Amino acid sequence: MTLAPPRPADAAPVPAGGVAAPTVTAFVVTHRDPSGLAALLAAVRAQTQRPDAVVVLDRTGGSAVPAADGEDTVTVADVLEDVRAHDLPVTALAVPPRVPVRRALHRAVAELEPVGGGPALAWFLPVGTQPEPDALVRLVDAWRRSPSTGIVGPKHVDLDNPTRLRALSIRTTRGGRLLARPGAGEPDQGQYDAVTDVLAVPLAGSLLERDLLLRLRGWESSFGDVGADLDLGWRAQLSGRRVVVVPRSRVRSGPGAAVTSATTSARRRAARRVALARAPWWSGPFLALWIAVTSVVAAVGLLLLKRPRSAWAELTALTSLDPVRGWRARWRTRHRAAVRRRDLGSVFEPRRAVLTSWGDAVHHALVPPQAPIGDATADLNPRSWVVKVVRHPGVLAVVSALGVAAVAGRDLGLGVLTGLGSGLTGGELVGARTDAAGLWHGWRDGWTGPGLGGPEQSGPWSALLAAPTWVLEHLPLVPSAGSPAGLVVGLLVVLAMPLGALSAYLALRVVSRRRWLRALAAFGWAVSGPAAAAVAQGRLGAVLALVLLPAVAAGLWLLATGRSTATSVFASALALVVLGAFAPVLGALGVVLALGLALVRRGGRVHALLLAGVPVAVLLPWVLRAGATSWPSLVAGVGLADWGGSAPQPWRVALLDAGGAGTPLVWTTAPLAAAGVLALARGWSWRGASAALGALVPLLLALALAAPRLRLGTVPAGVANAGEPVTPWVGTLLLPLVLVLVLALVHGLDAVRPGSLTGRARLGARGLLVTGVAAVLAGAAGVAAQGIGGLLEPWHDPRPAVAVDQAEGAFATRSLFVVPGERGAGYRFVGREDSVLVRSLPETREADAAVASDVTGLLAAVPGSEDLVAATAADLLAIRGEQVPEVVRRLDATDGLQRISPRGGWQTWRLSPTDSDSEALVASPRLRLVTADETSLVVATGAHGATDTRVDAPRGARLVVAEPRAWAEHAVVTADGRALRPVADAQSPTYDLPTGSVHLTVELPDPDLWWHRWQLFAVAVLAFLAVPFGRRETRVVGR
Amino acid sequence: MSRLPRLAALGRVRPALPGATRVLAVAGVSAALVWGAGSAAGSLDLAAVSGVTEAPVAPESLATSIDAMCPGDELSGIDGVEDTAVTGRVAAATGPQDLLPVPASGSGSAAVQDGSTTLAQLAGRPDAAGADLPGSGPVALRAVGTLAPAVVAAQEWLSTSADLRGLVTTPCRTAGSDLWLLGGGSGAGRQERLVLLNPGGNPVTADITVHGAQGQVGTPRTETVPPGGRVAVLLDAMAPDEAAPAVHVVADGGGLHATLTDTWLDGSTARGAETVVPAADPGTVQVVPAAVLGGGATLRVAAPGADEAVTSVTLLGRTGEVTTSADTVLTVPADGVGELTLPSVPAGTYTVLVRSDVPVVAGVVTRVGADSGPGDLGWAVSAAAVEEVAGTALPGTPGVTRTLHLVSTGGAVTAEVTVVVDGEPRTRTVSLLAGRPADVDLAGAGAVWVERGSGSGDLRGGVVSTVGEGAQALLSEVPLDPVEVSSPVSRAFPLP
Repeated sequence: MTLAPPRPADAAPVPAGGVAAPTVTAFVVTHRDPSGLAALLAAVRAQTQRPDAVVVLDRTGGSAVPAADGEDTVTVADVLEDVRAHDLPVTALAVPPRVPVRRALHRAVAELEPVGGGPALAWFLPVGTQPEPDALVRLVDAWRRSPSTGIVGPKHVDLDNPTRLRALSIRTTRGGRLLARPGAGEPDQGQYDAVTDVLAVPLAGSLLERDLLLRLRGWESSFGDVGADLDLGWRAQLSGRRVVVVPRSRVRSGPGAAVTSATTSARRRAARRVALARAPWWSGPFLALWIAVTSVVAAVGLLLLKRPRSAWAELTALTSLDPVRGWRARWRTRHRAAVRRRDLGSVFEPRRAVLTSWGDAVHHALVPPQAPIGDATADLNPRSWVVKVVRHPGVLAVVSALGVAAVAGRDLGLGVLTGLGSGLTGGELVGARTDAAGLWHGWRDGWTGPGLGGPEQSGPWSALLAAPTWVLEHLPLVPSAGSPAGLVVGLLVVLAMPLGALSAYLALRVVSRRRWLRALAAFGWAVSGPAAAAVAQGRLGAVLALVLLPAVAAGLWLLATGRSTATSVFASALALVVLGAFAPVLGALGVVLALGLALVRRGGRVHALLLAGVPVAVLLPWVLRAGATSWPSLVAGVGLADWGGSAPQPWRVALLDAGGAGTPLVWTTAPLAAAGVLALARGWSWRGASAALGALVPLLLALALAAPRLRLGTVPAGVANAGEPVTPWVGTLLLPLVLVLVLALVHGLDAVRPGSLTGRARLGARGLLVTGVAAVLAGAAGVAAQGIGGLLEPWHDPRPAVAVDQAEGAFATRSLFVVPGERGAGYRFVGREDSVLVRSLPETREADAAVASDVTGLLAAVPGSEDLVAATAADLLAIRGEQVPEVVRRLDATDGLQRISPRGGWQTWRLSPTDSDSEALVASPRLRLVTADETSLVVATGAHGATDTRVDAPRGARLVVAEPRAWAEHAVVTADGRALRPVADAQSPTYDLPTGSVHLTVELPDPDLWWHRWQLFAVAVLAFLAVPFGRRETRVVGR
Repeated sequence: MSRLPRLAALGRVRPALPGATRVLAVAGVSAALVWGAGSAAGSLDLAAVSGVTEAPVAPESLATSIDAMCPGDELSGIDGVEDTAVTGRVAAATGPQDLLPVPASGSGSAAVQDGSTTLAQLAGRPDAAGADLPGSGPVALRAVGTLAPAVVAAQEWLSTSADLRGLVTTPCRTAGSDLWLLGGGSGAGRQERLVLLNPGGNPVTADITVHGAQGQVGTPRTETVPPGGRVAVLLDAMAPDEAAPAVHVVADGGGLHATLTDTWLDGSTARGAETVVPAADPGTVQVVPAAVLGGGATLRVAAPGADEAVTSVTLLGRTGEVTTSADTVLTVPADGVGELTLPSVPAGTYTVLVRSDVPVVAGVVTRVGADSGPGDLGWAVSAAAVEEVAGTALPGTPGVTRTLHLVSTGGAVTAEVTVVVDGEPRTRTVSLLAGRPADVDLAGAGAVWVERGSGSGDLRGGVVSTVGEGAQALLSEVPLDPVEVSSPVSRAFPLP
């Protein structure tokens, strides 16, 4: 590198002694019309060092544009004539418009004989660029300073705002990944002025040695524009010539004039192909593999950052791996490299730069940009964050709802909180010791359910509950709960009111921006009568509706008002999916409303169809399967059925009385209903939000009134109200009605602004606000005064600890609970699979019903009835109460039953194996290895006999599974990978085992594996799409 | 001119019309919906429409298996003691269908058995069957299936020989685990035989304790009763000198039935015989529903607990409480037995009501006949309250007249009394005021059934059987035992 002494920039360089001065020919490339040409030529003419010649490549084909006066038209010839008048040596060279610019330039440069004996330089100026007066002189100066410099490029600044950068150089990795640095629009603060050697510069404004260009055979036209520029610079570097950027030489460029980044997929692909073409032949495959891997990884990353188009563009870069085109380009521009590949390392972007750019992208995506802070937002009286939090209306709404819940729950006692780790029981909650795995297997296994099980899988609610349960189980510093799933359900029920208030407060922002109004409405929603009843009665589906319905309503509101976004639609769809899983009726209602909006709202039809279609697509497989078994169970939802009893009278329903425990006095809920209806008066139009809400009120009321008339089943024996009909709970449909009334109230009161009124109007407005507040407070007072009763209580496992250990351990035993009553002895097997936390519709479990006579025989001490113990792996018999002394006496006298201390009102007996098994086993296990001489334990690791273990099987050994016979149709038992067939006519599923050490597996494959995978995938994608991160302008502006 | 202000006012109101209309429309439609829901009937059975197979709701669970036992010939079966053969009958009966809360479906059988020998078979309901009492061994009533609910049996023998005189009626009972038997007494030639019966399928161990006026007497005795068999024990061997014994039997490993046969041969004069069934479980209120008074009658009370019992005795006659100047308060030592001579009242059947501060058991012994001549003993023990159905079979012993004595304590109650005569049930409703017993004649009846009706009182009953009159009369009193109609464990079903 040669350093030359500094020289005034505004003067033409003085030729060195004995060295001919270079001649500069400016090649001006027109658009397909003459527009912009005159301005460019004026800029050329204004150069402190004028080019020795100007060649205009006329690609206009003679076309004209209107003149400035608007009357005449102007052609290239007219412009040139005008320029020539100013003593600028301009020649025109007509070029067919279809010929690529760079090819035309190459021909023009080749055909133009250099003037004088000095080096010939070509300065390329496409229309759209306007070099500042000293641009050329600085470029030439830079070229002159180093004989090895072959290509010199200027700094491109914005044509209209020269303080912002447009481009500098083409920056790329060895793999051809273009980096947009500086980014378009980045302020020019001199941060790039230290850059000199680069890999390539854009064509616009660049100064090239004519000989170098000819020696390099010009640009490779198959690489497009930026790719061709990159390729030219790359080849120049390989040939031993430097490519230098001169930041002090500024060219003002319009959009698209100087491209240095992969703004299109074609440019991205072209850059990749350049990298492949310029890489050594032996490294081609490796580079191609690297490009493929990084493209896929980048695409995935971009997808995760919710940049689907960019991700697609990344994936399309894979097409650049076409070897034919690469080799063709390599052949056309073949030359011998004068510089070793590794010597060019400094001009490539390091991988670190790529990672840094990705990190920046992630940061921008995850951390939303702050809104511009104006003077108006400056707080002259700044408060501490504590004061801000405490006085935040949303916080107050949530805390108030929590307070009302605490007061209303006074009858529950502290035991509900201290015993929450085991879950709750009472109302619709039945309590069970289960965890995330139990819920998960209940959803996906082929043989599931409590007791002896059955082929009916749990609904998607089970999998949805498993997720938070799993998180809870893995939280650090949190003591392990007796029933993690019960704890999750208990937390949802206990915190339903504050969660509902929080959800409503956030959701109602789509209706009103007045935070206190939203807080009031959110509070009213959370402490409404049906909400309190849902909590008091442990109705999980309704509790979740309390939290999710506002989100769904917000999505529908945005759709109806034409303000929906993709994120809002997907968020609402996700809420609708979860809601539909727990309360299918409400899910269906949401879908119907979305479909209705799709019909009446043309603007948001796609969004409405998405909102309606996504939940259907996710839940339809389950709905169809569950519906084929029992449509009433779908209507019943999760804890949304009324098991007997009398429904509230119609007028009470109309006043938001859901009936049952926790229902406040009807006169305290009536004001909210009245206020909501009165609020529908807002609006001077026959249409609009008020009209839509007004139409929904009678519709939802009609559904609520119809609920008690729909018979879903019959209350079975063994529980209260046996024989009475099971109907949908009225409150399920009162909740959306309450929400509609709350929305109407917010919408109505949002128009009431006393501050903007005077006199009587102001008084009236204040009166309306006070009325709304009073209606909400009346409901809250009613709930607080009435209380939610003492129906709920902590669940306690009735089994003694040893039975629990046996059930959860290798034996996987069950306990048999018997509740004698007027209608007989109700019984239930409780094992490790007991994952039912909330009752739905009474189900007929065939496997459990099939052993009714055996249980009867066991209670009657009928000889042979002890076979039930081994067939069901029962190790504990518990009988409620002492009203059957003859049974107690009978069982006391039965062989194999040892009475142990009573527990929680249950008389208990330990069931031991009899005969020869009594010596080998302490309890009848779920899996046992049976030979002619002995019986031994096989460890059960999963639910319903699932296991993965190794056993030493003697000759003639059989695996006996203490499950119903139908279990064998759904289970896959393998020994050393070989599937075993069940022994015919065996009482329990029995399999002949091969002799020796055997790897034994018992699996219960999911019959709906692909449907379940689809549901998981869909929910994951929905959750991703529903998360509102990203750099959307609306998130900045709309805050 | 006047129309202009009106139009202006209308113009001001007009923008509010849509809102007002909305409110009125919503309110109106809602009111109409409420009215329609309140006035219109009809429902949709989604379960039926969708074709869901519902599990039938189990009706009330009827008893499906009954194992009751009678002692058979109580005067036999003790080693070293000469057997005394008695001639008697055993009768069994099934109650009318109306007694069952739900129709019994399926098949069933009921039979009176002597070991493996069937003595009598019952078919359908109501039905009655009888057979001669076997010479030895117990008699079992075994009923299963549809004939298990409301089935009863009783045995009865009558002896007027010189060395054994008495009418002894004994109901067959199912097993219990804690039994108190009041019987026996002092006097030359008086003998008490305790018969332990095991209706179950496993051997049962019985711990026998005798209590007397001073508390527990002698050492407890343990006997093992074979399945379906009986063990007889001579009580005199355990408490030979106890004047007022009370026997406590505790079963372990199963249940037992027990009877105590009290025979009195005073020299060559037969003073009577009676077999006592266990009294009602200890309680602070004990009711002996049917005790024949008028001659010499003594109340015996045992206090099983560790506390002394202070009891007051009330006699209830046809007109209610019998007023008397006699001492009606009895103090019973802890774990001991006390006796109170009941006041002299006109001859008849009375209810003896015993109230105590601690749980007690009670029985009344009636002596019939002249002081020095032959006579009979009648033991009436306290009865359990009838919660559902009670009944007893009435063996067809010639010459025996019977009366059902019903009483309600603590409130009024109605009772449906069904007397089965020649296979024909005759039902009548008896309304009982509190403390006012009523009699029902059982002439010619093969069985009597009492079904509790409405009312708040505790219903009890007893059957008094007599032969002859005056000093020559023979007497037997048995409590009306509650009958198992339903059973909470006779049928099992899976809970939802």
